[in-house]
Amino acid sequence: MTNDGNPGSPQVSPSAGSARDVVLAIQEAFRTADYARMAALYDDDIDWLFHGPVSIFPAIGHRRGKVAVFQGLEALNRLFSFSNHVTKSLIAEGDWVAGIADVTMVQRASGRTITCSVASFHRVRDGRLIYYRGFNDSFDAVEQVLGRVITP
Amino acid sequence: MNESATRATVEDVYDAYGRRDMERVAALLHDDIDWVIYGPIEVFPFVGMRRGRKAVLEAIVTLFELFSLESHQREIMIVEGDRAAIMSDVGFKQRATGRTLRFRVANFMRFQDGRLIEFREFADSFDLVEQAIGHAVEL
Repeated sequence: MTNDGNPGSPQVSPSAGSARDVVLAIQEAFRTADYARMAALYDDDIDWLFHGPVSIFPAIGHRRGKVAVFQGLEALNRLFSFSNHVTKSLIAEGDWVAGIADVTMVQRASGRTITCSVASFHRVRDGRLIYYRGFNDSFDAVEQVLGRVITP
Repeated sequence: MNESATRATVEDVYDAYGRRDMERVAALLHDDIDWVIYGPIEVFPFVGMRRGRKAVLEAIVTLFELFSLESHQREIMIVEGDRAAIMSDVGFKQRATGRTLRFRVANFMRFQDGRLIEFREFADSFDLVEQAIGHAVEL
């Protein structure tokens, strides 16, 4: 087990019916860079982790609490602008939602366009996001950011 | 497929895979399966896009030639209709070096007629490369 929290099994909560809507609203807010709307949909104590190398993407890694998450997103926005986010698949059960999205972002310093598929797992409680795990092909993303092939 | 049938088939897939029962794995794959494991194929030759049962089985055989599954602990499974998303903590032993790669993996599955027709696997591939080569990647 990793030591960043065990999310447990899906539970049907009073807000179960809205979990998908909350995630879709967050994704729409992200698409439109409406960070105030996004923040309103994040729980103060959110447990957030995007898996990947912090040396290349300083905004990712494990973050706890809304303030820390949005400091990370702000840092990420200083480095990259997000030009596209297309949800390809969304699976919901109880208070859990998982999905795959195609994401396109532009590295501000170089103008390079980085495209990747992002997988995510979300848990919603009382209409707010309390848990997030994100994945992408981080090796490929690093190569795109550096603009060259890495020979391990 | 309803949720209970999907859930049972997911269990069947993981069980057959864990036992390396390739006959059962093959029976659970749709002829036209669309399969992607994201990662660098120059380090992990079994990853990438595969289309069709035969190609997927070849990839799984290659994986088992290079790695053995040491542990698989499921953290979450989300099922809706004929789709499932599963996040797990896994350990794979690299046969050539004896190194164990530990990581969290995300699987997305879709079933048709009781068989797996779409599969996507995500993990922190940069971290996996470093674990596989036994040192940090020089950038």
